Amino acid sequence: MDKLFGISMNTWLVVMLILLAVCLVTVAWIWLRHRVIFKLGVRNIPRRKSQTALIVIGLMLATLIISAALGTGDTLTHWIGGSVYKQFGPVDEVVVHTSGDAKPSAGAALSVRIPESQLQYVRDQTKNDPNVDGVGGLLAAQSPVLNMGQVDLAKLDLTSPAAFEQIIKTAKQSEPVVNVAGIDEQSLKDLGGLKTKDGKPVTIADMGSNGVVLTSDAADQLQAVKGDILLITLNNQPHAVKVVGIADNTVLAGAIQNTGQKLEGMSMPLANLQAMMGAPGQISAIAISNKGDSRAGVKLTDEIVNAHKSAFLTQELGIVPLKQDAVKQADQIAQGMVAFFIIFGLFSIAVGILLIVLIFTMLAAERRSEMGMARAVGAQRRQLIQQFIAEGTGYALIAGLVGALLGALAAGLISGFMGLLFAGSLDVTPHVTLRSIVIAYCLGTVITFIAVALSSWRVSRLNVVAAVRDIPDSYNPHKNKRQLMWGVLMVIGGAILTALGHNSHQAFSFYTGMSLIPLGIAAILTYFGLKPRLVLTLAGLYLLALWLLPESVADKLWGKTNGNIEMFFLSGIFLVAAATLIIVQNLRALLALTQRLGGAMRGKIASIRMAVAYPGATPGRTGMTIAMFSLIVFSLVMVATLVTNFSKLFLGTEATAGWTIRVDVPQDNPVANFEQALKQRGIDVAPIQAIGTTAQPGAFSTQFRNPNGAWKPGLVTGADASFLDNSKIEFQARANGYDSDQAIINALKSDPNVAIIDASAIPQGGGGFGGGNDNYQLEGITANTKTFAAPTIDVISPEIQTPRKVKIIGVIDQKITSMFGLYVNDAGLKQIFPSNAPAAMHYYVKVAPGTDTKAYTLSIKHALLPNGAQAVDIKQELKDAQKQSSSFLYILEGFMGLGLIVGIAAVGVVAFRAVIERRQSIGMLRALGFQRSMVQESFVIESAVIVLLGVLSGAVLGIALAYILLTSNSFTNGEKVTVTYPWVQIVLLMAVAVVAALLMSWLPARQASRVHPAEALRYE
Amino acid sequence: MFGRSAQRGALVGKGADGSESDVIIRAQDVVKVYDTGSSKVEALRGVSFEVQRGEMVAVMGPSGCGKTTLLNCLSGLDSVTSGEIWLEGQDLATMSDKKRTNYRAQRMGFVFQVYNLLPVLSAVENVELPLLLGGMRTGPARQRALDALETVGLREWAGHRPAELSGGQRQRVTIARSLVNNPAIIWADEPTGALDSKSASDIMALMRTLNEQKSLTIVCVTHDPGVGQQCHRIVRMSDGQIVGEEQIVPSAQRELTTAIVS
Repeated sequence: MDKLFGISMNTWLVVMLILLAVCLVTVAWIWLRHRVIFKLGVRNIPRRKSQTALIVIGLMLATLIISAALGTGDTLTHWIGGSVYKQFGPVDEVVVHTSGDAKPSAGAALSVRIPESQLQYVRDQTKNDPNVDGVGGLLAAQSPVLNMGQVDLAKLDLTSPAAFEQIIKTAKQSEPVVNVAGIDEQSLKDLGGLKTKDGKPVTIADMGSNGVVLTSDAADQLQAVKGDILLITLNNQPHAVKVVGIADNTVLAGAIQNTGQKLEGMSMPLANLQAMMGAPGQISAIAISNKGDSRAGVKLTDEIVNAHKSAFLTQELGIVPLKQDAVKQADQIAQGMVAFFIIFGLFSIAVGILLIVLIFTMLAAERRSEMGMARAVGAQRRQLIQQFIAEGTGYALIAGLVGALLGALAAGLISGFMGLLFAGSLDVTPHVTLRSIVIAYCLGTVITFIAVALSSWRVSRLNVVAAVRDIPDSYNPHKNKRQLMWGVLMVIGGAILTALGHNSHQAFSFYTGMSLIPLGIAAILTYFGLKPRLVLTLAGLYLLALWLLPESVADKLWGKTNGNIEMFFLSGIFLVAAATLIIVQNLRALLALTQRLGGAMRGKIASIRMAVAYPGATPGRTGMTIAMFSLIVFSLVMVATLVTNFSKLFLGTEATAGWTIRVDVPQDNPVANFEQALKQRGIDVAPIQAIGTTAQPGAFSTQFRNPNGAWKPGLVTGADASFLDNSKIEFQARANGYDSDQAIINALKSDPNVAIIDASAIPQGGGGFGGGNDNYQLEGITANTKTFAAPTIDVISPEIQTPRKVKIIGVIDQKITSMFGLYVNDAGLKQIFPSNAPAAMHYYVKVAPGTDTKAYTLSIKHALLPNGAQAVDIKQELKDAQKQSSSFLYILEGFMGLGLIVGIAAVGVVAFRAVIERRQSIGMLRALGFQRSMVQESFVIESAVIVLLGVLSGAVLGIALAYILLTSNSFTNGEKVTVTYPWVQIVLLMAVAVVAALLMSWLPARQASRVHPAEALRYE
Repeated sequence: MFGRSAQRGALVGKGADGSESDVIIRAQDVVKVYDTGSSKVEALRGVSFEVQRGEMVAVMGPSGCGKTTLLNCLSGLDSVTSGEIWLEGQDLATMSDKKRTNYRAQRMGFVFQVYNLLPVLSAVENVELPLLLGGMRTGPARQRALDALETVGLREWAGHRPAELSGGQRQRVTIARSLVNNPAIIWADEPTGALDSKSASDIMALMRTLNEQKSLTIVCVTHDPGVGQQCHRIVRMSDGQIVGEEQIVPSAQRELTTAIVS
């Protein structure tokens, strides 16, 4: 992975190393100037081993998350990139037919063939280019394949359709779509040759008149071995071929493009394929191999493209940097994933930082009298800070190392699961670069260092007398000038940020400012003597109202503001802070509530009262622990709810546009009359209510541009009248003059110059996760647009020289995810693909209610197998997509759930500390008549109360914010939406958090119950 | 006398002649050894001791003589190495920890030098805690706690937390807590140790009044001769043993109280 958030990884490395160096120099300075202070700090590290272990666990989390995210990126880059290099092998660029000034596209190879003579032209053109290693021609096609096993080729009767029908019934295994590549001897030689998996070279002569080499994916799927006879169908004619070898998944072996999640392909002599396809003297593309090996060669791509593109254009040829594009795409996917994981990991990092503060506050509490004594005998405040920094850096350095290494391990696990999810196998080798580990280590250590320094500064502010006598500090906000100063600063800073955000319409700045102002006012009011409980509760309520304000109300109040994914994090932080403020300030109310529990919980009331009273007496640590659980649960509930609703919306029944079965027919084996073909092959067509056809020739070889804009790749689909009539197409925006959805459909059926487009072409705002968007985007229409002035855009295909102008009259509703790209009618498609437009590539079938869809789909699939037609149960396809989306959610939840470990560790830290602090009170309680079990119970209930408050507030906030977001206008486009909550997941998540925290508190609670009363009472 | 009276009590709770006696606390040959692994410290060396119901006894002696250890052992907070302790006719050794704890909750009250109030609860919440432990409903428990605070003159301070009260007030709350469950015995460990003389005399006057009005048995460990003089009897300890005792005449008590107050 080369970049993160648009910044080079090397720059990240240098900056991080500098920051770490600054931290280390600070500590070195303490060591040099105040050796005693340094020693006092560092000697605490090995003093209590179990405590040190707990601290290291807490501190390592930030590093672990960063390391896991970067490691995932590295692994994905290496994995996807590696498979790209392996697939393309020596092939770096392809030369294809192109037209006009459109950017050449590899997709053209499958729709427009070029004369074989062009191969010689390219050879001549590049023969003096020192960067070019070899040039070769390829003919590409797709075919269904039947594996007949080790049968006698001579006995296969492929002449009569009836005999063929019988033969296919005996097939061992079949695959509907397999790539077929044809290549000649010279091209194979120039492109580095073909080798079987065991390393033996295969020549065109070895293949003979009917031999083929399979890719390993094709061999696996077809369960084919050397010597097997395969039946392929090209141009609707069956042919028998024999497997002469199995090679890796390379382009030369036929791995031209993905077939689902696989790279199924076969290669054969060019002449054989030309004969089978009826395309003598034609090829699809010319491959160029650069100097150097598979990885080194790609660096010469730009030079080669620039050197030859003008000359090639004169021959209507375009050069496509195939391997470079694929490598870039792999890197973009990895970058996107890293950014995704880091942003969602921010909550856990925030929780980790809270734990650091909590740990150091507790350490300070433990050493309070020690620190008081030190101050009494002349230690400066800064020396106390230095002592803590020395100690904290020690922890940070150890924790960083553990975190970075565990993060690398987590990256392996995440990548493995993603491999399983998206590629169908766990075959992903973790590949974490040293650079990523160093960056994660530095970043994690620096974050920890800063948190330690700030906590140390805070704890160094102690009252010497109170500390020496170990009595509570009597902090009085009233008359505390520092508090007044902070209050004023927050109000001024908040006002500036609010104004900046308001003027620039930036949500981040605006809402941060609006949130800081009330906190500043609260600080000022308490300085002037108002009760903190009242003021802070009001500030908390204001923050809740601000962040949970429905979009429509907010827009009315202060106009529209723009925000991205960072607002998710910011809203979480402020909402949780607000809820925690309210809870902590009102814990006494909870205590009063126990008074009412009298009847129901009589036996437990004393334990419950103790459990509720203590958290209220230590608001700082209680608040931090509540906030930790609240943050984690909030983020998990939000993500789970959003994903559930996105799945429901985009993968819901409306996505099918009313169709039941889709039949994909390869361009090379068209089915002329679909219904007739089904009848001929014995399928009862009675359940069929409607059949619609669409065609997408050339896949992404078409490109669109706005007036005066640049060409961008896009998909054009031609639809017949039946498809348009029978589809349940809704439009989220209509062009002026079209007052209903039906009006648009009617126009589209009759006018070849108009088109409709799917909602993904509407700019959404925001930059996503760093992957960049190279797809076509319409101008002048936004997600909220309902009506618009119909824009005319240019469309070009490899078959036309002059761009075709089409008028966009409707934007398809975003819910109908089965429709993608630009739709024109049959006649419109013919204008874009005048010579090669097939009548149909997809048949959409609507069957009568009550039909067994699964069985019917299967019967169509079997019937059309000789054509390589792929019948798909559309609802099942959506279900599979939902399953994939849920699985990804689980990986993400697992990653975000790392924060829970911190929360649980926090419960342990707080509970262990409480046992020490309350030793004497425990003794007294035992003297008063508290049983051992009641002491234990009281500690466990106390942890439960804290965790429950955190978990409940997090869940409520997550549910509320998800509702606000999902019902906001920018999400619903004004439609009425019912929000679905994944209750089972939410409840399970809450239960896991509470149970895990209770288990963690059980040990200290047990320790507390074993306190001997007489001994405890002796302590003073 | 202690040795003799202990030997007389062949049957706990009965006099030597077999008739019902009013002995509420009886200790016989109590030995307590603290074993720290490397050394053994004999804190109590064969203590025998009796207290009559309604009696107010002071245990006095120099620091480290074993006063607090004796109180802890007698109240069942600590176990004994050997010997027997009988409270209201029940052998402490035969009681499980659970039973002993229940017994403490129902029949004993404690007053400590450092108050040992729970800082996180208000005065009334501290006082009602033993009642809630006994399973009383929160409503009646609150009323009883307020009554107890009334008894010690702190009704209007019920909602305040310990940190908001003076030392004397805190000790009054502790006393209110110790008597709220109508205990048979109150154990007081240096009840005036942390108080100024005025507060100390107020507290002792209060304890004396409670002893007289409610016939409470009070065992009070103290350094302060003035406190000892307000009890019925002073038991003197040295090196883990009882070395003597004296009965206090009521007039002397009165004079001393007057002297302390003045």
